[in-house]
Amino acid sequence: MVTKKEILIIEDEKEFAGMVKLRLELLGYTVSIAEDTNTGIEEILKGNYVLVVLDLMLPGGGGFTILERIQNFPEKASIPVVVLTGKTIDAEVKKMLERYKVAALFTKPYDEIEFEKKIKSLVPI
Amino acid sequence: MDTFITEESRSRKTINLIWASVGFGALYWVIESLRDVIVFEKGTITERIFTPDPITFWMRILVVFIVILFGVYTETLKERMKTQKNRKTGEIKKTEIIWVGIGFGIMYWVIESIREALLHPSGDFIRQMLSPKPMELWARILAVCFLLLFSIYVQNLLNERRRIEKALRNANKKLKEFDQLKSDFLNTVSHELRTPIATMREGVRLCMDERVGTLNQVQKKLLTDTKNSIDRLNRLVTDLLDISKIEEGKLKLRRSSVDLRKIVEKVHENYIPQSQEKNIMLETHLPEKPLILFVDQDKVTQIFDNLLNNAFRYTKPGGKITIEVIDKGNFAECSVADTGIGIAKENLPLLFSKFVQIGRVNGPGYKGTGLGLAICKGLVEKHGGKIWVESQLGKGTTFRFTLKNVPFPKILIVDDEKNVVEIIKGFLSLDNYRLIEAYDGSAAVEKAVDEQPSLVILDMNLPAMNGYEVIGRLKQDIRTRDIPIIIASAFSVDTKRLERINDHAAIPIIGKPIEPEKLRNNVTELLLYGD
Repeated sequence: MVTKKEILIIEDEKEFAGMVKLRLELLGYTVSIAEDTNTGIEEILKGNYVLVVLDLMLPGGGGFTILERIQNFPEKASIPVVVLTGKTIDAEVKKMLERYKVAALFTKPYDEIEFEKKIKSLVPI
Repeated sequence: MDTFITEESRSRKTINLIWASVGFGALYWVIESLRDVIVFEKGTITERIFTPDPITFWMRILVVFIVILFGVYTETLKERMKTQKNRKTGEIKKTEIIWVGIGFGIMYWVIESIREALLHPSGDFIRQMLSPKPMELWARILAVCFLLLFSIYVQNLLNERRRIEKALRNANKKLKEFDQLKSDFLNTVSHELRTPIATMREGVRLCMDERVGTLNQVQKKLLTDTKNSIDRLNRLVTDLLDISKIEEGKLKLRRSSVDLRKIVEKVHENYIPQSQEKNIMLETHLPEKPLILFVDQDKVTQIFDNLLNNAFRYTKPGGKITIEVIDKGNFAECSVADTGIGIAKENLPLLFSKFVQIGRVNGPGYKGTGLGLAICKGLVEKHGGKIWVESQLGKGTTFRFTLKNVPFPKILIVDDEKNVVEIIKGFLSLDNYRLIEAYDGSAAVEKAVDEQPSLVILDMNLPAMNGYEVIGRLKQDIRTRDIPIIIASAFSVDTKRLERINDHAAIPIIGKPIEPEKLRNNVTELLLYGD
């Protein structure tokens, strides 16, 4: 049996995270949720995720802290990260996202069709 | 703004001080002359004022000079006060100024005695010091009192200035705080509103698209209506943020070189489904040749989007919407015309104000926020253009706007290796920048001054003058200090040294060999700041 591909959602808004999880599960992925910065980092390091969906505003640091930390682990730094945030995207945020080579950026509320397309292209089922 | 106020009032203060000293000098001159005439019965008043004997003349000049020195001293005293003990108020105390006045009074007494001793060889200096003639004594006391009054006047003058300065500084600080508070508030509101909106939309979408079970027609209709309302709420949040950014002057354009025809073609494509659904004809007329402008692609798209949404909203089935772009040389004129309900003449002036919706349309479909046209106006004006409207009730409305054809930014590329310059030129060639080059440090500085580029791309290892020296020169010169710089270096850059020579915006560093995407991103980003 082929194991399902695992995606990690790091998002502190439970309801929203739950719905994105459902959407991705309906597409055929296995999905876990981490609700704060530290849990997010731990999960990435110990888990076997093929993609991370990341919110930027999180308790205990934030999305950028996570991006910075995983740079130290070469085998984890290459996991594609899709940022999904309600934060206003200004020049500063854009620059940061470029620095960490984020795979895609979606602002809330997102275009679900584009989102699904992007995830599927990054990690084919 | 803060420093502006301080510096301006400082120069005004110096002028006040000079005038006070000159005024005092003149008054002193006249009093001395009067004394000579009344006490010593020497000549007439005109003689004593305009042609005093050389000794008197030089003595008076000396006294006036000392008064001016005294004024300057008081000024520095005030500066010292500010940094030392009276940090809180920065004001000079009366006792301090009286001591200074007394000190000066004693000095004056000594000078007068020397003068008397010189003028009257019979009377020696010590006697003049200790027991002057009664009239002379009173004259001196008068002069010293006068000096004390002058000191107090100077003190008040300086303290008053200081108080005004402080009040202005506080007011400025408060305003800045409020401004920051407003921005923080808007960002938070944006985030806090968007998350629940996203959650609602996601839930509705999952049900509506039947991902979690089949629906009957009524359920589908209810969910579609809900989703439309959520989308409308989201537009309102976005529009509110946009308009407040425009009003605060915080909107920055990400200009790049684009063919306006491409933008409009894309917009047209996006509206084809809506035009078919509503049975409204959509037509686009574009110039035959490419129309390359240096504009913010997203913002121009947003202008067209807002105008087209309006047009679709107010046009009945069977109508027609026409987009047109005309190349007018210095600018492009764009228009969106509809055959809709039109706008009454008296309502036209209100159109570009916030929250104005004239002739609201009921029924399904896109609902406006009343901010669209105000945002359009802001975006067009930010591009250096104008927007206006022509309309006839019952016949239709045409919105027209212009986009100014601003010159493409000039970029100075500095590298001693010709082939590197050519490579960088190649990377930037797509964007229509005006590219100029320099092959050594001193030529780079010269070109930066003469050509006033919008950006400098700088190699650090240069003949004649290295990169650090070039940056130092550019940042010291008022003509070049605001030009952003990108360092392109094959070697590691001494960031400490860089910080020492550059107290302006941080300078981005890109390694060699240069990644074209990285270079272009940095260029776009820095040109944004120069907007």
